[in-house]
Amino acid sequence: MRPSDNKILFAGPVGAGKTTAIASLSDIPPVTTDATASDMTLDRKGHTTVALDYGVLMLDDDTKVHLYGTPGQERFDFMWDILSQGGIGLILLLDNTRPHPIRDLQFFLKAFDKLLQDAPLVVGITKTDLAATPTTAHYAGILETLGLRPPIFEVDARNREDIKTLVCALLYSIDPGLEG
Amino acid sequence: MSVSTPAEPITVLTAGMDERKLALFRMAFRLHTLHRYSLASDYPGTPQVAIVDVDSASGWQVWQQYRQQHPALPALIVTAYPSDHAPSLQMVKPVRMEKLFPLLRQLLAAPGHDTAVAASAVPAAVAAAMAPPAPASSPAPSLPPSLPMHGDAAAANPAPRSGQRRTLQRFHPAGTIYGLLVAAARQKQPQQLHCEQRLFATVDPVQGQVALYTTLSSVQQLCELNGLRLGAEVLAAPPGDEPTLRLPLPTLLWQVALWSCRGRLLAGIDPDTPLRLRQWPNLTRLAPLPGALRIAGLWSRTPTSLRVAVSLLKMEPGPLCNFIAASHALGLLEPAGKANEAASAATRPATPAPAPLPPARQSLLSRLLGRIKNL
Ligand SMILES: Nc1nc2c(ncn2[C@@H]2O[C@H](COP(=O)(O)OP(=O)(O)OP(=O)(O)O)[C@@H](O)[C@H]2O)c(=O)[nH]1
Ligand SMILES: [Mg+2]
Repeated sequence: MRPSDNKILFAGPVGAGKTTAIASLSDIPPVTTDATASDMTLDRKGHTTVALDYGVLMLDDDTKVHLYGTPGQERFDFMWDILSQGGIGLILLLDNTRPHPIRDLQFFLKAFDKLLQDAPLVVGITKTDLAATPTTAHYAGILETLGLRPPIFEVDARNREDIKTLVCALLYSIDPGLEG
Repeated sequence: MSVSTPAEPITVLTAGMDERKLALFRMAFRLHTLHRYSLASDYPGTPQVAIVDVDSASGWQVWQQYRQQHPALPALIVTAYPSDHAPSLQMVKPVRMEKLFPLLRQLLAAPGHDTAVAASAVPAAVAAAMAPPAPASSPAPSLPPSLPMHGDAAAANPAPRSGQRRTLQRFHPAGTIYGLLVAAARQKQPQQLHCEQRLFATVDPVQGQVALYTTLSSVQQLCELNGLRLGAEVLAAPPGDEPTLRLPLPTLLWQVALWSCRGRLLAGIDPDTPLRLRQWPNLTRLAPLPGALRIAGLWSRTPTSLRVAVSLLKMEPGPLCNFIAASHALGLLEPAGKANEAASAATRPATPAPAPLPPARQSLLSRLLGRIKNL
């Protein structure tokens, strides 16, 4: 990989919309490690990502921004420090229809606590069309008690504008003076 | 993919891996276009090299079994716990593609014998292999933990005092729909609101819901007026009539703020008092406000006065004033003064002294931003 390579990591629980979000941004059809339900009996939605998604945004011939998606539900020792170099930030997607989305938030904050010491975070709450609560204010309140003030937006992973807003918020929280 | 690759794929045998780990290597091989590698489990061919994970429940037994079955096949050991006496080349997890492929090439170039007999040679070999591969070695620029504009930097470099001092028009909420709704939103109990002696809305500040008894377009018209006769009382029983519209309270507050404020500075806000955003508004579901992402980015990280924000963001004061009124309505904006010291004590230690983004980084992020916006 070239030194100018850069990464954005999409994390979140099963079904939160990581693969969909990466597909909506990537210049290439995303490379995924998806398995169908027949391979993974526990899955309820037909497809799940076993390990990783990969997409890329080409800025020019020499500069790529790599988009990685990871379920990261359990400690997956392979790619855990995928962002350790060249990381732009972490986009955490949480599925509001899961039984304990607040616990999911806490799980991922813990799982990524090292990374979050210097990489910026954005939180996207998906499937609010199906479950309106917890609200973004509720999530924000929890993050605030931890001294974190990341952007938190309701998003639909199928809506590209929503995903674009997440990435723009990530960039502006690094440098509000950026002009794109 | 279209990149031309050597005709003969290299078949890689694996041991000690579950489906997820296999999936990861499968993907790594798919992404790597210089040589073609494929997993023996996918394309049965004669394996030329193997990857053995010794971190599964059976540990190093996996290696012994593997060696018994394949006495001559060169193998890469992957583990999070490298051993000084490893019998072959090791790769320390996490697996990185930049490390994986040079090691595989190394094994393929000098195959054939385990290093068990010369165990002491292993660490050196491993060390050599672990050294970052030449072309990929320059580390990507690490992320500065803080943004380039900090309160101090801003204070050292304040907005030009003369000439640019414009007189901002003020927005006084008393007697406006904005004032009525913001006050109701701060209550603990459901409220019933009247405007010009007619039922206007009921507000449930705890649930964050509003029921409107008039249309949105008449709300917009009312937002242009001041000196309205307004009333609010605790809601005893739901009104008999059906509301025209129910909507989330933040949605209405934000919209009403934009309709009402129209670029004026909210009364009570000093243009030189640093402001700070406690939380980001849910901008994907609120009425659009130009520049809101940038403004929120600044005020959530760095307490900054309106005047400094205007110069840092190179923005007209209008959108900033609108943002102030709207985020104040949602209870998200506070002066970065005393009230805030407890909160900032809790903020993570990882926002230390700011360093400006290196120009290369800034240019990269700007280009990325441009790409995203134009998608
Ligand atoms: N109704 C609704 N569906 C959504 C939303 N966001 C994503 N989806 C759908 O949710 C499903 C799961 O999305 P994926 O992108 O596969 O989720 P994932 O995070 O990659 O899931 P895993 O790979 O299993 O970890 C897809 O069918 C999406 O279309 C949303 O906001 N609302
Ligand atoms: Mg997926």
